[in-house]
Amino acid sequence: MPVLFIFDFWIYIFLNSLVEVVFLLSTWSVKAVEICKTDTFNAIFGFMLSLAVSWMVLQIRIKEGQVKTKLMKMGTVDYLTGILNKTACEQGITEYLETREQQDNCALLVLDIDNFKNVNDRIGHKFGDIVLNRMGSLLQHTFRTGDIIGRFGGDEFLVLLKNVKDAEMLENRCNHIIEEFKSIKYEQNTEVDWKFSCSIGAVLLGEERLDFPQLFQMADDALYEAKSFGKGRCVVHSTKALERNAGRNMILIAEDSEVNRVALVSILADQFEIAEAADGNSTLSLLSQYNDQIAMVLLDLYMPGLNGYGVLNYMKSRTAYRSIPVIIVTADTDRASEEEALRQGAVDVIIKPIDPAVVRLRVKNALKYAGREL
Amino acid sequence: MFEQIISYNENRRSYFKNHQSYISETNLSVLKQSMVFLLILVLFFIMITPTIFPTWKMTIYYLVLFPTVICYGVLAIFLRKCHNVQLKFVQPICLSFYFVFMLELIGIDVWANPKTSAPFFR
Repeated sequence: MPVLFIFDFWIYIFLNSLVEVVFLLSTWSVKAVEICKTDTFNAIFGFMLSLAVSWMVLQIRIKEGQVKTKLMKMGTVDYLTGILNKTACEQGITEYLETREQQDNCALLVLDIDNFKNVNDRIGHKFGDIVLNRMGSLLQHTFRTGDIIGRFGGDEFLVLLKNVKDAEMLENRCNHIIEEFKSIKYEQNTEVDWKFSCSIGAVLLGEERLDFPQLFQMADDALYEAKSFGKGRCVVHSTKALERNAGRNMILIAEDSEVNRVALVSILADQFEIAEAADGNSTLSLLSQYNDQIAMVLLDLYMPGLNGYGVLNYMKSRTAYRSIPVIIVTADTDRASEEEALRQGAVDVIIKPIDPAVVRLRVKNALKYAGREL
Repeated sequence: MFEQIISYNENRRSYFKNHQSYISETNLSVLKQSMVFLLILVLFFIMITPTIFPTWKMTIYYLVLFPTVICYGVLAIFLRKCHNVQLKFVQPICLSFYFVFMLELIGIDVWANPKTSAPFFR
């Protein structure tokens, strides 16, 4: 019986001793001396035997427990960096986001080592592993134990910071990481002094309820922005911008034809601040840069690089930009193109040539419809 | 030798600290299964013992086994249905069962059979 239950060994000794004492006292008070002697011998023998068996079984259980702990650790920790692996990290962040108190601000950071592919290609994977290991150690030493730190895959890392006061504090933490990572020295038998930089995309989550995929996408967009503005820097987005309609008074005009762009600017410049882009990629950069100020996007369907459909699709698939109304401005009179744009999330379509009265009216209506009347 | 004892103690401590939920679950499961087996065993031997030992008589010491087994069995089933029962609640229940059960065996060994050697404590 004692070996069936898992008790500490000292409890076994205490309990069995107690039972033996009760048994012996009872026997010696009730039975004949000769029978008592036999019972006492049997009881002591049984007691010793049960202790030996209990001790051996407990040893086996402890070893089994150690193996189980080791396996659990192997399943959650990234062996190269010593921080959580992708699955464990995602799970930890998801669970935290589901259970966190609404007033607890937190932030998700996506870190990426710049030009890491070159490290593997030019110096070798072994050195690449050292760089990843140093990044893992740096993150572990920089952030609190309650924060969730993991390797997302390759040279990308995820950090969920709890109780973040504001965007300024977050930016300071990100810049600190970037500086610390830059200052790491690597002992290598090459003439080149290897130094690496990293880019960070961060998103500050306020009272809004967002799940991990939404939050990750916002942080990933911020990382994309940090990379495209020149690596070795951080970009911080805030989910508070999602809620903030008042104060947005900028219209982003994405139009490759200079003539049309100038025309649109001249129509709207007296009422709104204007940001101009001549191609799809510039549009994305401006969107990211002025995310919390843009009230509307006027989008040409056909532009060099990423076209209007691409930009529209990008915007509507991202939490940060989904609520910004988009009006398509196109010379294409094909009904199918118009329908496709509306299907993808545009609120209206203006057919060129540009008529100032039509543009003003459509913009006004679209803003009213989106609840962003200025 | 001394180092081995220290290492054993550390392992033992970390085992009981890190596997609390596993130990709780296992002990509750063992308690439940023990109750089922004990009930079957007691019933079986109460039926066959008179045929082997015609002079044997059923006494109160044997009968008290039933309420004990049933009470702890019901408690184990109830606790198994509650999720994440803490070790500090499970261990005293299992320990008390073990102690009560052993006292009942002592009752059978000593007072139900005062003129023979103990049938269970050998």
